[in-house]
Amino acid sequence: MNAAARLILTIVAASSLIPAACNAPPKRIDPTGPEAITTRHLDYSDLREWSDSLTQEMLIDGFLDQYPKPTIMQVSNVENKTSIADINTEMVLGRIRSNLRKDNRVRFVATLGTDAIDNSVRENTQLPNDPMFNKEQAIERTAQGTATVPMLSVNTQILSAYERNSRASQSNYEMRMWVVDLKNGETVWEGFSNTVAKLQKGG
Amino acid sequence: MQPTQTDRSSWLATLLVATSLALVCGSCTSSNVYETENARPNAIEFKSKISNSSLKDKIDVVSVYVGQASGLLRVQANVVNGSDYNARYMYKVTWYDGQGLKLPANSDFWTRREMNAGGKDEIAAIAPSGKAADWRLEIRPWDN
Repeated sequence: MNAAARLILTIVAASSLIPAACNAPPKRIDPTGPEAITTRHLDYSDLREWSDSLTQEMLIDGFLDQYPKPTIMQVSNVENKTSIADINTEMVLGRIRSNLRKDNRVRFVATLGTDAIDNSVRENTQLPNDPMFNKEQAIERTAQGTATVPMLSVNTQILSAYERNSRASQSNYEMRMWVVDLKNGETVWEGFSNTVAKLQKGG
Repeated sequence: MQPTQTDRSSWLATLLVATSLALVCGSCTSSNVYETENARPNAIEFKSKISNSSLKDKIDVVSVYVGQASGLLRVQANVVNGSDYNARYMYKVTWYDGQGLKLPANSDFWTRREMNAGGKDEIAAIAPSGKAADWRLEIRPWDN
């Protein structure tokens, strides 16, 4: 290999390192701040806004005022009716639950429904019959006819509408939520999140 | 070669036409607003600290109302876009208890909004807990 070839090889090898060196290291950002990415579908900021707008709607409506405090709720159905497979509905629901629970306004049961379930409540009811455990404690500390029955059930749907023309496409997303009184089956509250619309030019 | 008087005149004319076009297009999407005269008379007094005066020229809080819902403090800031262009902004409301301590809140995040030129809008928030006694609103540009 002559000197010129060696020089070219060195330049090629050195230049291959440049992109790696130019890759900026990851940095922490404010997840909903100006640096947050806006995606074609639902992004994190959208989910945060949904949880906030739905909590506001529920509290401003005042329908909870007619129930004793804390009002006991269960989450029944969480339906994703969009074509997006991986919408993190737990992020929205979890925040709504957490906001409602403050001041002991609402409590959710972990024994029924479809969100934040704890199967150990039911499993532990068998402990009094298990010779391994202290029978007295097992009776005292497990649900033996003591589990709370919910008053209201919460249901949610993620909905979408898609439209396009020759120049652009638009995706619209909403979260619909309704609360049912389990004693009489009446829907006592129903609301929509703010609509998130994403426009993409060139479709 | 030095520019002639004719060159300068035509350059000025082009600039004038471009500026006029920009102004006309800027007001194309403006809103017309109609409402009750002297609407919402019970606004509270508030204090502001303006670090971004160009943002204030676009989005400005003109009045603030405070109330209650389900035993929780509720605040509404009425904002206007006084510019000739649509404005994109984000806002965040932070809540404090009676001693001035910040309340842990899921609502502590930036919400994105867009407002038409000449438009009016409301920023509404409800306190995360009955312990909330005070609030702070921050507005910043949304350029993304």
